Amino acid sequence: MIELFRIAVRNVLKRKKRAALTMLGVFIGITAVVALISLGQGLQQTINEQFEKVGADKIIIQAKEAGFTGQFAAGKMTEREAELTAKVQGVKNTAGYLFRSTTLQYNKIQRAVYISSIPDKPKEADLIWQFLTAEIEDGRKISHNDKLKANIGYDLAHKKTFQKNIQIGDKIKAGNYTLEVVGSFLRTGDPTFDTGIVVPEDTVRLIVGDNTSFSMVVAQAAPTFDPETVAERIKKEIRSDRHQKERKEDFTVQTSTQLIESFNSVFLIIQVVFVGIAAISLVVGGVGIMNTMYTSVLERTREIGVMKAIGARNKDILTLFIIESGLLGLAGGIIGVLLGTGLSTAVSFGANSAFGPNTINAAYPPALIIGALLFSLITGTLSGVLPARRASKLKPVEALRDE
Amino acid sequence: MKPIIELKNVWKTYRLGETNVHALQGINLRVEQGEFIAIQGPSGSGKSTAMNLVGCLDTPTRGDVYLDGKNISAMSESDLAQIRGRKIGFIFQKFNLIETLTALENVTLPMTFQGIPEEERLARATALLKQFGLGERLDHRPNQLSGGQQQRVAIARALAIDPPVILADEPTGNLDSKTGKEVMEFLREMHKHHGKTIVLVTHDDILATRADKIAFLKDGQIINTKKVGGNHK
Repeated sequence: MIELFRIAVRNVLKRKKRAALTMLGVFIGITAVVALISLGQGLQQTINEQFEKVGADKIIIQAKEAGFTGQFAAGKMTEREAELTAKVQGVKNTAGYLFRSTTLQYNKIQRAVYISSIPDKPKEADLIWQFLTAEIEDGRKISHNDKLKANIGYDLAHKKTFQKNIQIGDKIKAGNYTLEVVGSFLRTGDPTFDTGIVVPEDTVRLIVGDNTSFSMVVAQAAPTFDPETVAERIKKEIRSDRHQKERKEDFTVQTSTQLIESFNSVFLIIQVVFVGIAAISLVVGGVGIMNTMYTSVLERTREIGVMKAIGARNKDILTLFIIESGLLGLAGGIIGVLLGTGLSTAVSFGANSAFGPNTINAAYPPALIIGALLFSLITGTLSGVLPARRASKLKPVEALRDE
Repeated sequence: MKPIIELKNVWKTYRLGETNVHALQGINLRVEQGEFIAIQGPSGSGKSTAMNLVGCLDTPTRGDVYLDGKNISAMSESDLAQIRGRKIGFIFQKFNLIETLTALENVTLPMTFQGIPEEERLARATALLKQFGLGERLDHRPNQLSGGQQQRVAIARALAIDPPVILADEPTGNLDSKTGKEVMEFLREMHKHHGKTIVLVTHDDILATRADKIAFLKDGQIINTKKVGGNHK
């Protein structure tokens, strides 16, 4: 067996150019998959870490966006609903949150940005800060009694969005109101937040001209309560207040754990699609290997005859050819894994230097590496079965006669 | 004496399109242990077919072939491979070395198929190649060796498993006369001093006379068998 392995290696190495071309089919697919999945996993990790910071006790109540009729008005929660939520058994704390778009003017340039609200009661403000997970880099956080003050996202302070960076103490104009910048945030990785501003709730209401509604209500479950049970209770309360039937609600109530689960399930689908593409490309690669092996059997007919004459049994020849095609597959896989990890490392390095640290950190789970190698080995081996069978079944007399 | 090879009323028929071609038509042949026999005949006489049967590379359409008392006529390909590997050393006209392997590896290969341990394989192959003056060429590939050297590697390979029978098919056909002579010398020596049974297949009259016995083949039949007693010239 070891000896056959050695011979197989020699045979593959002897036809280097052909082996390389054959492997191309395998390693392109493996490269793509390893790169995409390691980047995807990296992104997933970053986002999951953010969810962890939000905390498992948070419950988010928001309207289903747009709704079936396409009415935008559907996307709102009311102050009354925030109050109803606060009364539900097991709810420790509740806060309303506004997330709207507005125009922002600075350095004589005007742009559309997102604006987030911080409630004016300290306890509620705390909850929204927890929910936002944003941390101050420069200056200070806006506090509950601030008026017409703003915190700005990382990009506004660093990316020259308005051709120059906004500084602490600068005046910016949101809608028709002039605000003073009192602090800027560290990067969060959420582009709408990093390019947006955070303003006290009263000020947001002035700017967007909305006195009653919230984009979402954030609730915090009390420590002894299961957030999911509490979420169900909130859902029931608002449903009856809106006179809606079960499963026909136009709003959703999700714990942060449920949010991350639904997010992860989307990621799973994406990964399954990637693996599907990989499978297709590997089938193509496998056909390439099969083709090469059939050619090899034809070319080496005489050699097969000689080996049989000097005592090789059918299974020896079979094993030899299967090892050879398995090697082609595995070698393709190894190159693919190296190129794929290299590619995703380069992409995450590029993204991190272009958009700031931790934009995306490629992850290389061992299962991905081992899986990719195993997959390419199996592809190679299976592709070799038919050609190897043909080789092993050659009659020695006919094989020796071959010129 | 017990024959090591015996062909009894052996027929080999090939189908060529609509017609049956009888390559061998009821051949009877006895090769005694330790005998040096030449199978001689013009091309198309069926001598290659006969060699294939003697070498257990093929089975007859009709009749029986015995090797060392065993009837191989109905054996499976894998059993035949085992028997070939143990009992017969092949020397081909075109050397038929494996191009990707070194001289040493070519010689160890038949032992590999017999499951002989690596240490023993290497020791024996090295000794054989040294014996044939190729001690300096162990790691050379066939394409780095001359024709004569290649044939010597092939002979070493044929002897690797120390088989009782050596089957040489036009062994000097691709060699110059001097190297050809060396090969024939060697076959005689194997026969004389090591007691090997040699089956030499050739179309060459002079070469055939180096054997103890010649079987003339023509049109698929043995038309004459004569003792020549080994011409040493």
